[in-house]
Amino acid sequence: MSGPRGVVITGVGFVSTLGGTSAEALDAMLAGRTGVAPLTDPELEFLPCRLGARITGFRGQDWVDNRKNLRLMTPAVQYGLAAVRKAADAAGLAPGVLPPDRLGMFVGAGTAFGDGRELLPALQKGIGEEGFDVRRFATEGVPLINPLWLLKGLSNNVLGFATASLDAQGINQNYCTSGAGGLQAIGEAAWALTEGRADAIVAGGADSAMNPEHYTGFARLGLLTEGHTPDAVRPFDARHDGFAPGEGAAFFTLETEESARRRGRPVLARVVGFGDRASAGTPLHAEPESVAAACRRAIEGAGWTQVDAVWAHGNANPGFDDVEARALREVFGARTPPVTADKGQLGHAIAAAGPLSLALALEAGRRGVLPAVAHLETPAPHCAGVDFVAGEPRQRTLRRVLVHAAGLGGQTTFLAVELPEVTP
Amino acid sequence: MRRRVVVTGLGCVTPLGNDVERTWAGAVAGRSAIAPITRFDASGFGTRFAAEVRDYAPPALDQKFQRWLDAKAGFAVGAATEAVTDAGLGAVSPDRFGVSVGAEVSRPDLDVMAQRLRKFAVAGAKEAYRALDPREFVTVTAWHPAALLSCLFDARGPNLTTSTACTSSAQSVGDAARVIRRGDADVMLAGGCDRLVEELMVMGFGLLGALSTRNDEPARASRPFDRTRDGFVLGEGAGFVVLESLEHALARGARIHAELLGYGCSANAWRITDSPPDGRGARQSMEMALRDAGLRPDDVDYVNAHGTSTQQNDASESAAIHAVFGERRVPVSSTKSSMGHLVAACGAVELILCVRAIEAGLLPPTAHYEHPDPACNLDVVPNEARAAEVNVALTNAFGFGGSNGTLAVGRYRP
Repeated sequence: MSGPRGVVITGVGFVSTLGGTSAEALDAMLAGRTGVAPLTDPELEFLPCRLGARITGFRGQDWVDNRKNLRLMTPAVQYGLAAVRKAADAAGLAPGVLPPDRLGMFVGAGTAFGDGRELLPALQKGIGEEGFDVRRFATEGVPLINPLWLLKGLSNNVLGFATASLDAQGINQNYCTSGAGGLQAIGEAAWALTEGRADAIVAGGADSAMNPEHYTGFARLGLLTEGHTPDAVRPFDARHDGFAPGEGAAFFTLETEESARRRGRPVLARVVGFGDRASAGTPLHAEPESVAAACRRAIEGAGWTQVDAVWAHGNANPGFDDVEARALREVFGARTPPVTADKGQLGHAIAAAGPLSLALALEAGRRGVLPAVAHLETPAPHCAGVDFVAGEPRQRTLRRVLVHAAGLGGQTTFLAVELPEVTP
Repeated sequence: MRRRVVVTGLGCVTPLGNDVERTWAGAVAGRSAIAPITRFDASGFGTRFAAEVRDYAPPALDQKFQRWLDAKAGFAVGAATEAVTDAGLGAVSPDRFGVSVGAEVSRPDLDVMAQRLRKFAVAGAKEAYRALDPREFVTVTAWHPAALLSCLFDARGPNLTTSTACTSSAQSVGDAARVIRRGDADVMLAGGCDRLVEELMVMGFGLLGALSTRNDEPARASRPFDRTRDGFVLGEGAGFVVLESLEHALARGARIHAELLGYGCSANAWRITDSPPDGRGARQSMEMALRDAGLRPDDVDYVNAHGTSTQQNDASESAAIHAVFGERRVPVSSTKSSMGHLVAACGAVELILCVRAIEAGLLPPTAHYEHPDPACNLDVVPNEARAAEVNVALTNAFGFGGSNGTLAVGRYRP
């Protein structure tokens, strides 16, 4: 069964804790720097995890058309708008370059918790001696709330604001599928182009787990590292004990080959395979068989007999590292391709994680070098038998690269991309 | 030649009834499911009525799943179970069976939030944190229903969740059809669910001025295309269909309800809460669905409108329908007049009503239609169901954020 055909990437937009371009972030990774750092926020004091990979120095006002809208935009939405704009600019996609109804947008977005803090004063009004009084909340509390409160909590705000900004009137999507969403958006966008539904689609993901809702939820589920030092996130290492929350956005201008040729845009990569599967069992269960099936589907679609590298999900959760390593052994046998992962240095940016990895993979391919999995010293026993890039970066010609992103609900997504040849 | 996609199973849980037949009967009768809110004390809110799902108990599940069942997923499980049963689905290869759901993040009950605040104040942050049920972090997410359905039905194929507000489940069904056409699955369980009759939703949509405030006459408050319409009415529930490749359906001798002919999707690229007055995005969406289906506007016998009963939506949707259909007065009705607005679930539920219209030869009416509006000069099938041969129907869904979706469904012809 084939994969997407005639789909090329002509622009990348990137916002991360390690820099505002994938080149800058890869430089930092190759130099062994990490965005993961101890946090001192009083809101997190009671949590077992106080590490995070935060973005600093980002200016949302530089990326929105109408600054009045900034107050409706969470940090994740602002990152998303910046990355969309960068991806469009990099591909020369100013409004009017393509017919608006032939320009689409596919977004992977995070769980929009809304702003609980904005509700606090109103909630206090409803709290009385005899429990919560909804009527008093409604009559005395609600007038304290910003009338636009609901809009800030919409799941699809990157899509809504960014389509308006680019005048992108074509096919669109907003996936909320935990850590798989961003890569699903790119894979589904590639298929929509293959189907002839648009000439170009800006696709990617934006998310931020840097808020108390995500910290408490992930921590209660036992997913976060309890380490306190910046090297605590150790994908596939014997001492792995969970991830650190992160944030960011990466978007790509995907385009039909014909459209790119017509516009004279250089091809950065081709999207040639997409595999998307779910685990069953229970809602939070992940199964190596499903991860392997998604991986095989991406390779089959691409028609490859060889894979040059796998950019793993590698979230440093012992259970999932085990599942991922098993799946890779199941697909590739005793000789896996070199495998790397970025969450030791980027943290886990959830819906943005897959797109961030893809952007880094393209940049790594351009340079012919694979960064090492950060802080991987001795692979965990269950993760043995996989050719992890550990210690030093590895020089390598990267033509055929797989990127994996997985979600908390058992979603697993692989994207296969072909890169132009570079000799390291 | 592209693979054909057929509808072989239908299921829903709506304010009109907790299965397809009761929902269909209510819509055909133009019966209103809208009444004063009973779930909480709404007396202090500007809008005090809604369309609640009533007397509903989700199917009993194995204990390991039961503990993951919140209200939103509960609606989804009921509708999906009906659809799978209706389809007579036996063993399907898990790898060839996927799930596509339109859903949104849930908001916590105010009671729960207040209890948490009290705990925080009295016992401190650490104790409040320890008291949190970790499952809640999962069940609030938009993707939880899709993850739960993949477990219940052992569907390990593509698993997608679309969150585009009111357009979610039109797009989730459209996606499911795309997945089958390209060969990535043989069967998809596709639909949407939403639970909206909650304090924070009544508050949030109320603050935006989007809700009807016809508190003295709730049963007649949802009046799409009527000149005196004053906002939409919150509903809730779920709708699911089983989509299959024609090949797969024929091979197992399935009863085929209808064929999913086309999917259109556009963006207003305008503003978050409203659409351009000329209905540009809605027109593009309908035209794309027709093009995808290889149909002309003249082939369409019925349009189930988005028809929310807000001044702005109904006028711009009317403009779009005029732009697509020209002089021809195609019958258009909004079943939201009976059951309110199911938001993330409306696209799938209204698709199911289109399928039933094809099967029954009957158009459900726009209820509570009294005052024609020159801005909505349509044949709205006012107040009474109408017998009509329906070979092709369109259903529209448009949402906050500007996404528009249209599904084209038709009588199955071998």
